[in-house]
Amino acid sequence: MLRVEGLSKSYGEKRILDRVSFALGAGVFALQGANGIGKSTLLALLVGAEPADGGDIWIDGRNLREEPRPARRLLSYAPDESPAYPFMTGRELLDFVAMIKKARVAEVALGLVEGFALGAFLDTRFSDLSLGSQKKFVLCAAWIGEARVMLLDEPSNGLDLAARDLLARMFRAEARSRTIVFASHDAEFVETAGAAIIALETLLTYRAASGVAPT
Amino acid sequence: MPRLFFRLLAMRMRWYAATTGRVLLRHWLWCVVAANFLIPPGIPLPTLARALALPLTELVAPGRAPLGLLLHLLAVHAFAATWVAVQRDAVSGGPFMRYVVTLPLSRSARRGVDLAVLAATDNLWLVPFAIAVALSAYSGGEAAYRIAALAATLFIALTAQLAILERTPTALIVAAIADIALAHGLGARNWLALAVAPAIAASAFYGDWAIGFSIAARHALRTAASKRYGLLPPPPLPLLIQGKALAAHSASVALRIGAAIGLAIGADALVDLFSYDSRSLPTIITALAGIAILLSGVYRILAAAHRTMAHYLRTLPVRPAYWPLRDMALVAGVGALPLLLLSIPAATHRLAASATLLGLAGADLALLAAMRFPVTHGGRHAVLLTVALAGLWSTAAMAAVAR
Repeated sequence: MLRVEGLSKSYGEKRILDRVSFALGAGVFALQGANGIGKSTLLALLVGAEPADGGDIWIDGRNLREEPRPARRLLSYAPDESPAYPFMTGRELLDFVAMIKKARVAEVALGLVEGFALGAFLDTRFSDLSLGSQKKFVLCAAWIGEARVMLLDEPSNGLDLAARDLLARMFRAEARSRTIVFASHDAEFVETAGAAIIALETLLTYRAASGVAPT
Repeated sequence: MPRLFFRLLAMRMRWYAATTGRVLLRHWLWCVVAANFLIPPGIPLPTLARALALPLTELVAPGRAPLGLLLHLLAVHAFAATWVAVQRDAVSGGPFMRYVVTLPLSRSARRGVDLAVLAATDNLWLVPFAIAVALSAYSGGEAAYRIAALAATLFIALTAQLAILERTPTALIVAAIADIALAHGLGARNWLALAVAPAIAASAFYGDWAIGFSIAARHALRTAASKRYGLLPPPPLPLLIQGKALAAHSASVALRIGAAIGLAIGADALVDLFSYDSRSLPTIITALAGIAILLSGVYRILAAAHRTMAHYLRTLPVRPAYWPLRDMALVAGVGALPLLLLSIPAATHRLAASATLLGLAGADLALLAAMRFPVTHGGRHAVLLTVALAGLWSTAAMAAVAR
């Protein structure tokens, strides 16, 4: 579902990724590595939020560079920090993402809104929401549309225990039908989600290969 | 406590200088144009001083009707409030002050700092006040009364500015009520009213009742608005987002739109003065170019808002031109109102053939849309480029209309 070939990225003199290649099928994968090694950068590159210096990415067979819109329709992303306008409400974010993806705010996303106890905050502006609630809305937005690949940056950060458990259960339930990749330092959450660990250090040295065998 | 006051004041002034400096650096060209407009070269200094102080010396001059005085006072205080509203973030101390309110510092101490910063912020238009006071000192037996009236006017202006700073609309209403008392006092040459008016304005900040009242009123208005909102069909989401982005800078946006409409009305008056002769179309074209420059600032506000979400938006299946196209349509839509104001007299007095006027209207909408490029891609030279683009457009439009 997610295939990467020769992905490279540098910031000035600093080489973050150098011709990284791998392929992932359906399942839940936790991307792990030391701070600053490039987990968030890799996720941002995989979703096309950051332009890569070279290489190609396929989302369920669609090339992200050549067919960006069809590829992005099969993709969901939840960044670590809230991407929403401060004046936007949670409901507006969900409606906006649904409108862009030409999808409805799916039952599963609404279920997540309920599960995260966000109902009372749907019409609260992002600037007035707690960081945890902001995070929850961004996670709900990731469940809108028919994403085959979900990429999430530190999804358990700032969540209360009930929300973390719910998210982990959602990941497990979707493991057979989607590729879910998330960056996390939260060992307990990784275990509860039943995620296979991908050590980014290993990935960075595993150039030219096409197929990381998750541990 | 004085040590704390001065430390906080120093920090606030540093923040004000830094943020204002950034704005001045970005808009230096506007400042030069405005200075040239307000202070024509070669004007003698005493004449200039009298001209600057005229709105205030006229205010305290005897023999005026109370209603005229009230409108005059409201205009002076609306100007004072707007002066702070457009630079509220710089004057209020920025995000750090949101932290400071959590510290054990009394509201009156914070207000003391606020007033000191306001006094510094008002330096530009305190000059006309000082000149007016100096001129009033030579007004014979009325000197004391006039100076006291100016002091009362200045005091109410400060309370109006404080109301803007503290987001307390109730205090603004109280300042307007104080203006009624002051207008009565000025009309009847009544000393008591001069003393009562500032006291009324200050009462809004006694015991913080005005803040509580403002919060309650805002809540009631929001509740009423949400009920009304429920009855109306919701606006398209992109338009709602654009609207909210502009509402976050409501003072600046209102000022730009107000100035654009004012420019259109002014041009209409000038064209009428010209008796719709050959000078009329160039006047309208120049006004359209000026309006485009004024409205181009809306692009900067929208672009800054979209930057927050740009990273995330790139991950969604959306064309890169999603916001640029919508922003251009919005600005063109906003510009359609002053365009209409200018087109009606042009069409009714047949200043040109209908096809020419339609072509001019289309070209104006295209200019409004094209203004996005210099604003978002012009960097430090954005203002210069917008002026150049508008100048080129007006030259081309005049040449096309003249053919």
